[in-house]
Amino acid sequence: METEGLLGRISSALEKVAHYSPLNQGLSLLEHWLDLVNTVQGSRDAAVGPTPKQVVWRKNKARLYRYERTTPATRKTPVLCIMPLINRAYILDLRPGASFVSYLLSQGHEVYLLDWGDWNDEDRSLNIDVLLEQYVARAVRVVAKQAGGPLTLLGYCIGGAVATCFTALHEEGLIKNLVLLTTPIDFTDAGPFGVWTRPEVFPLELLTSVFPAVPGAYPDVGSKLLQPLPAGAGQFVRLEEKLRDPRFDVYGWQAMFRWVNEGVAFPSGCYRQWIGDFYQHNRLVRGQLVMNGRKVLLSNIRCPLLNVVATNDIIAPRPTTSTILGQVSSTDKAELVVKGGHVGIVVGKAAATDLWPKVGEWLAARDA
Amino acid sequence: MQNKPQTPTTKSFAIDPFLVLRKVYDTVEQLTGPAIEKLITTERFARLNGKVMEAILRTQRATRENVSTTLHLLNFPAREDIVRLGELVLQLEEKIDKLGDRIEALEQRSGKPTGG
Repeated sequence: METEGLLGRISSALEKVAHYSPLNQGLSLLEHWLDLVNTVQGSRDAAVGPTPKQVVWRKNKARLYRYERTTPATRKTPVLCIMPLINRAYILDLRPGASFVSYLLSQGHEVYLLDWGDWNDEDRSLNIDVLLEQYVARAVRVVAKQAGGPLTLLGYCIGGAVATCFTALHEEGLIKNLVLLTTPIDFTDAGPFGVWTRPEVFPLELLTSVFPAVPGAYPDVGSKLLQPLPAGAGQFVRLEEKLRDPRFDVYGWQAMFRWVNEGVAFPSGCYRQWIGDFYQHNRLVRGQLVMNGRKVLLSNIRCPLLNVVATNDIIAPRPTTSTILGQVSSTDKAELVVKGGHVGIVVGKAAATDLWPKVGEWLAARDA
Repeated sequence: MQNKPQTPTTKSFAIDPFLVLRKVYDTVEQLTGPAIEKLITTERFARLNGKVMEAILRTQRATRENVSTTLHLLNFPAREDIVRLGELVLQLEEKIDKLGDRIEALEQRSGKPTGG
């Protein structure tokens, strides 16, 4: 009897403790904190690249993907996406509802994407010349052969600079249109990156001799230094705030966080050329860039050109992205200014209503 | 001190350390943001950044060299040896690709596929 009474008292005390408001509050705060930790840590496994695709060509770590269509293509001109060298290619096919690739498919195009893959130390001798001759040229030929005609080359960021050089060097008619997304071309006023990489202060030779493939963390730290607080502690402070809202798209945040923090190594040959020839000596715009023994002249570009620039781009500021229109010989050329940042304009909330339809319209008008 | 929810369903806490942290962060960002933005574009910051990088890189190079020497002393291949092997494989792949290109060109010239 005595034991039963004692148990009853303990049970009643525990019940009181369980309903004790400060304890409940503490547990709720702990749960909220764990939600925050799990959201950040879970981003490593975030589902990305939802659109089914097939490998149609491969070389070294690079893969040329052809995205699967459920209906036959209604457009004649396929789109070949050339991706940045330091980021994962899935940014153009991030997740359902945030996939530029999926939009282009819905517009009737065949869509191909050249994914550079994960560079490693053995790729140290690769420079942009080699990428153009051994990778882009072959990928373009594969796409043109499959499509039975010329294609649209769509380059994003550094991938845009690679696409520009390729178009300037290959005038044989395989490139029907050129679309550049936030592509730096003129480095006269390249913002903080331009200041940091000046030959007097930037240890380029040391960096590329220590690392045969410059780890993705190096360019990543540089990007984060542009806005140290928002890109550092700030992102977690904002995440905590957003997690309070049950309508918050956790999976979208995780996919983006994964992409931002999943940089790829940059072959030292490419890195040396990108920083040396482009940032430090601005050779492309000056008409002094030589690749595979030939001068890369922007004036050789005669195909229709759509240059997409972002208003708040801190990675490739407006002065670096806008110059190209005045340098090419194309008569059909346009600049599309989109409100947003370097990545936001491609996959942000406004992308589906702003950038994608405008690019889609431009491509449709040049499909004949 | 009750934190009023932004929407009826938004999570809120009676005592909210996260809110305090957020306020501290916002204040710090507001106060330092413009100054940091200016600072990072200065020559001085660029020089300092370069020197920090140089110090890190020299340390990393010394570590790599020491590891490599130790491995060679123990008769083990070092990273450099494996990298060189990888480069040879890549060169071989390029030779095969070039042969493929030539076959393709021949096919185009003759107008019929030669196989493969």
